[in-house]
Amino acid sequence: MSEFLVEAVGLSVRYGSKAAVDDVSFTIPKGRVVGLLGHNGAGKTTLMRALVGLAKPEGKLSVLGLSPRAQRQELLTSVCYIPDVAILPRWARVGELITLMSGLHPKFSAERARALLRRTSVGLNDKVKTLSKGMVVQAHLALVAAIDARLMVLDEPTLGLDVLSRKAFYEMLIDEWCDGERSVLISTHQVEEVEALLSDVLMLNEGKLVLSTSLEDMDRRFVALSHDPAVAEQMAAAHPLLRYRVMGGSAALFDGAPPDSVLALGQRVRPSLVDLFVALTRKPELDRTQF
Amino acid sequence: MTSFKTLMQREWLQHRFGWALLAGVPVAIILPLLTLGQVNFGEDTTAHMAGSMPLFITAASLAATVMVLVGILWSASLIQMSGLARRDHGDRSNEFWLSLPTGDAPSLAAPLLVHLVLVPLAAVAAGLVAGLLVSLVLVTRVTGLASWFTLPWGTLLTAALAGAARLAVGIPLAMLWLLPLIMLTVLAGAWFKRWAVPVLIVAFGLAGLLFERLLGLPLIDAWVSRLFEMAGRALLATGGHGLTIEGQSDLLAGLQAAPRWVASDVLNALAALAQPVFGFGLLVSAGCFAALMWWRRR
Amino acid sequence: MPTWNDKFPIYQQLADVLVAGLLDGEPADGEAMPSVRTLASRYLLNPLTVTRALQALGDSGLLENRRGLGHFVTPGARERLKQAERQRFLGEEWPRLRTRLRRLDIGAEHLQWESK
Repeated sequence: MSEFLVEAVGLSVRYGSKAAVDDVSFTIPKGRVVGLLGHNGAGKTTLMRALVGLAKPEGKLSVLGLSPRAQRQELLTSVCYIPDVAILPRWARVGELITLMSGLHPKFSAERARALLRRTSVGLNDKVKTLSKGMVVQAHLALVAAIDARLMVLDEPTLGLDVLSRKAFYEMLIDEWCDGERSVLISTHQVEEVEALLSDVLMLNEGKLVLSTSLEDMDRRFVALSHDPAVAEQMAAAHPLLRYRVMGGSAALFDGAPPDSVLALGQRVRPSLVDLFVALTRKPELDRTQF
Repeated sequence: MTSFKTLMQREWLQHRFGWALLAGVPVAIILPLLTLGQVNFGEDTTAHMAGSMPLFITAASLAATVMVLVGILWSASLIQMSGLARRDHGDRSNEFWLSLPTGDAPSLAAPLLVHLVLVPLAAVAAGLVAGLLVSLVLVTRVTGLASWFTLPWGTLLTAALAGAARLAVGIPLAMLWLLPLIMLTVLAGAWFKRWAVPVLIVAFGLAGLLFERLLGLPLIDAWVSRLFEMAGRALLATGGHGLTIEGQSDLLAGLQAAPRWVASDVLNALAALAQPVFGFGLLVSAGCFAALMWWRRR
Repeated sequence: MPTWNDKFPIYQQLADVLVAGLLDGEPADGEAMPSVRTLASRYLLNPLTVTRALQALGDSGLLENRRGLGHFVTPGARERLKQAERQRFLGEEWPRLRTRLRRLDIGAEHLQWESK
């Protein structure tokens, strides 16, 4: 039994001649919260769909030791997926969905679903078609969180949620899912907000994986130096990944420690995920190397 | 097993309001009409039935109401089921159902069972109840309330239940006969959506022409009309040897004979299953079902 | 929910917050730190980050990790912290503050000691 919940080697997903996901390799161990970052069209949704058996992959892909495409039904008892659009049946009441899921999903707990719903503004008697987009997301999240799954795959789960609901979602994520045994793969645009919750990050750019690391390693590997504008030229000469403005000055981001002489010119600060994301997914006037 | 029952429960939760309307509205319209409107059974009938008018009215009401409700609900079910393949695609909730670990076979079979068999059977029951109400109104209007209570309820109810039992067997059998045509429509709906029925009609027409040219036999025509004929027989197998009711004495005797007649009719209907065309139909249905399962996974 | 600045790694910022708590005697010497999950929930952080912070405090000798029971405040930790902070204040912050006060002509008589 592999110790990884997800293992992908040379994974590609093609639509016609275009590769939405291009030769991607990564692993997801248990007990992690993995952020999947990328611009629109970078391949995040396709990658997630491949993990739950909704897209046809080339290469090696194993989720919970199973092949998503071939063993979908077995996989679905332990993997949950919420896509980025509302898919709850519009005719149903939330309470009815709980009843149906209790009978159709062996690991669903109706009691837990009701408890989680109480934290939201969604009532058991509400019809899905009367709910706003954000409330549908909240309802779906509550339903899915009530499943005793080992892997959660969430595509933009906070889209359409207001600040309070997002906070409630992050709280639920930490309280309910971070028990060291389950992992969550979550794609989002709100990189800053979610950074504190992540333990690992996968960055996709145009179908290719440009970064796959734990946040711990990221802290160690990348060096950001905030510096006086006066030394900007010397900084540039050391070929940083990215140069950007911060409050009160400029900063440069390096992959690996720059020479000591350069280090002395500035003050080391934390390379934020946003900056790293911008640095690694820019359009290629620069030489784009894979990591 | 729980999951199959839950899949059936889904149909109930989603459609119960619609079913109630389809059954309730006609009754809600007819009852006031009968209460207030003109009721005239014609001189011949009144003459033939004379003292047995209440009995005749009640029997006729029960039969007619059952037929109307079964007709309405069964037609609605057939229309609903023809769109089964694309049913949840409108609000994308098919992805929700696909995210649950239920097999393709139960997911397809449960709605078919509920809509094509259980709903018409429920319509029979509803029809009997509504029919009693209708008969109450009519009998009261024609011969007075007291005569309704003095009806031979033992015989009536036994006959009614026998009729219901006949339909309980006949409806599933008729569905089995028509299943290949239904499944072909559902399968066509997977690709052609709303155009399933027209496309199918054209396809059948073309296939029919082809077979005529090649084999000189109108195979498709013959097949389809045979299926419909057998479905009708499934409901009422006796053909020409049915009950004939001429006058009031026949009526009571006929009702008393109903259970025995139903029993033999059922046996005839069941015997009719032993034909190659039935087996062929089942094969076609199974093939369509398998194709639908494959399509669902795609 | 405190916002995390972009100067230091998040685990380090959490460690600083926890140290500030220890200075206030929260929790007191010998007592247990809140569990990793409690802290993760309180500060909306990944539990792995919380573990890293606690480990950092353990490396500085402020906490001891008793297997299966959790992290406990080392006896004398508060006192040591206080001493270290006092040193830092008297050695670095106070001279700066004193220069500033002089610049503004503020003497001891202007300062309000009784507050809170």
